[in-house]
Amino acid sequence: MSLLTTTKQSATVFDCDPSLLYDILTDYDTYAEWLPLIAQSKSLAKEGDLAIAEFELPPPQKEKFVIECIHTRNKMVLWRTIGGTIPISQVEWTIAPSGEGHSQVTLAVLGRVNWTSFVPRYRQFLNPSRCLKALQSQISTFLPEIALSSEEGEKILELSETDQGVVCWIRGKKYILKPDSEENHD
Amino acid sequence: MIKAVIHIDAPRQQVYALLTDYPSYREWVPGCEQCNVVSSAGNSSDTQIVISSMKRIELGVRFEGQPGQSLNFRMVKGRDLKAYAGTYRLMDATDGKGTVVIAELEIDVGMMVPKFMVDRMTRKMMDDTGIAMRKYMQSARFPTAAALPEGTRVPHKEAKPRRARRILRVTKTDAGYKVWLLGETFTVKNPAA
Repeated sequence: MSLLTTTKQSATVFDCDPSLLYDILTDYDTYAEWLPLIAQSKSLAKEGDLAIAEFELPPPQKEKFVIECIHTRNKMVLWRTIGGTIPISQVEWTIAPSGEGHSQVTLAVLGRVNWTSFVPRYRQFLNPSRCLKALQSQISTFLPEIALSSEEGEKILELSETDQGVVCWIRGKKYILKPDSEENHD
Repeated sequence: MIKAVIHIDAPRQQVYALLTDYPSYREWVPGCEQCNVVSSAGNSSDTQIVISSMKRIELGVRFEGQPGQSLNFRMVKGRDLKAYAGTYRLMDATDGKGTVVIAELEIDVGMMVPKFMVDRMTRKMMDDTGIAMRKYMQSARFPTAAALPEGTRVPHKEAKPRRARRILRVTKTDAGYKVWLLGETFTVKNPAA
């Protein structure tokens, strides 16, 4: 039952193109890596500008909920919750260019008031400013120069995830690591 | 409009075939006592359905399909409900194992029944229908996606190339070590420095 709705909104400018933000926001299999209070995430179906994804909250709730997602390439990602009792009915990420190499993301979270609105853990869920901060961290993994631009010293170890596998640099030497299942074992 | 997502371990065409096999509704739709096709033209069929739930409901339902894509239905005759309409949209599962059905249903009972109660009953009905559909699909009549011979299975979509991303960097400086891990920087100070 929902009698009332609430809206929370926040905006941040990021040092990247809208396409990177769009790619991150439509990669539903990796949300668990960065979005606060998401333990598991997976894409169930995707066709054109429509996707269906399933998220799971961490213990003790461990509740699963399904979202229907509508995309406008490099401009908007909209979620609507289908199942579950989370106190959120709609989430809208709006991406807008903000000068050369910069983009602004506005996150609007539409809440619905039900019994979960009074559970502290649920209330923290999808806090817009927290989510945008987490998005900043995720972006910096693709554009590490943002975080490392002023870094000095000797690079000892570096790991990068690429299509070839995990590339490992140790004191100037490059190694390519493959998933364990692809190797031959006795 | 109440929505539900149902994951069925069978190819899309088979799920569509099940949904448009209206006489078989008696065998799997919870509470369905009767489903007779009254008339049919192209992808549109008019049916007479009897559902026995909290009360016995008789209604004429028109189904209009887009083969393999979606099936719309709405009440065209009946006195027990004011409105009954919905859609089944079919999508290939991302993992290549079957079909994701997005079901939408709107019921207007036309009486002084609170909307939240109708919505709750509708959701329960949809959840039960999803469970029943999955169970029926697993029966011998409809082979699951995994049981289909090679070549008839929906191919697992190729993952699009991922952007390269940095996971970890450790840098040695005069003051100690700087560890950058997934967007966060940690400093390990050298006690001798």
